[in-house]
Amino acid sequence: MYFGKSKYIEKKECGMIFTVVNQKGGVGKTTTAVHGAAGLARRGYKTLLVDLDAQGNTADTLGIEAGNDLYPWLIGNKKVSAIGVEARENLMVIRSDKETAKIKTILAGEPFREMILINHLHKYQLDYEVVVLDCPPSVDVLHTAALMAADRVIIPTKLEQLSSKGVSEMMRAMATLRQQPTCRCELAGIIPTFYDKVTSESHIQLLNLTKAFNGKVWPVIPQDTQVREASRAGQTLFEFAPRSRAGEAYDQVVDRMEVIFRDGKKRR
Amino acid sequence: MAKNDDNLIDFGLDPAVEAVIHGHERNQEMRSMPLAERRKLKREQAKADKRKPRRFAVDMDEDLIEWAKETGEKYSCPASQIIQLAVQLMKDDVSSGTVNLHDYRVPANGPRYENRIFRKPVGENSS
Repeated sequence: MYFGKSKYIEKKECGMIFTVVNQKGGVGKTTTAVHGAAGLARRGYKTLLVDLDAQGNTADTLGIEAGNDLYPWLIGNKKVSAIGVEARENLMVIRSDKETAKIKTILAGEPFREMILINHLHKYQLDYEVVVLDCPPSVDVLHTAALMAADRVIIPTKLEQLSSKGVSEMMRAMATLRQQPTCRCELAGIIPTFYDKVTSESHIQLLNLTKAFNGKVWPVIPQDTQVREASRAGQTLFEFAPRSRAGEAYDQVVDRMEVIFRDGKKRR
Repeated sequence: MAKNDDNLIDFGLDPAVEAVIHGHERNQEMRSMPLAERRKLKREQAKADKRKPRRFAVDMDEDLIEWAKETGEKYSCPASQIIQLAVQLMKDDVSSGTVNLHDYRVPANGPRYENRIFRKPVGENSS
């Protein structure tokens, strides 16, 4: 597998790209992507959040109207400023819905299709300091494209028996992609989600994760009904319940993202 | 900050994760304790929780931290009370107009804050 080298990549630099990914569904990818992006935007960083999942839950979580900006952006080559939605101050969102499936069909016949995101981001998004990509829970062209575009990868994982297996699979996929000269993705952190302090299962799985990945395990997101309630209200936890357990944990996640972003900026 | 082999930041075991693990282990331990001991531990925990809202971590110059500690020792009181007194005095000065924070404001380098408060050498504050 060789995806070739894009003519755009070496020429221009956009902001740091965080890809939130896990092949498993229901692990908290969208919640993590939304809170990571919204948290950085609240701290003053100009942030772009791209929803690559056909379920389109990003719009619901942020309380904005559903729609599809991904199609006109990737296929129609429209500018983000023309099609994206400014969901909050400093936070621009490219929404997705079931029409995203069409993109995959169109891209199926295109050469260098896995480079589509990195090409678009580096071509048009120079004014965003941070880009957060919310991946679908399947291994498809957009999933691979998101990993190819990533500077740093964040893997949310549910604290269940098979969770570390899913993380290991992601690590293997990343190792394969990193053999490509254009792929520069590094693991930023693994976020254990749905931590249930009552059961010992969550604790055992957390210990297993820390044994395997040590410092790469980021703050634990506890199971918290406020997450669902905030989503229902179309607000982030930072707006709905900033002092909730999950709200505080996501704030710590944003701290880690900010440190990585600032460090990456210095090294450029 | 420590870096790993790839020259990336190495956080070590994240303190937030460590706290969760230790919290769970402490709860497990408590379950096997006699009732009286468990009650005592719970009381201590409640005291610590009560202090939580009054706790606030700030970055300060090392020499100021040392000074606060030494002064606390000298007057046999906690360093936090020395710092609290300093902040109270400054609050009064700012309220009365004796200290104007605008004089100490300089543009920040990072994107998070627009300005930082910086004590310029004596004589430059009035400009």
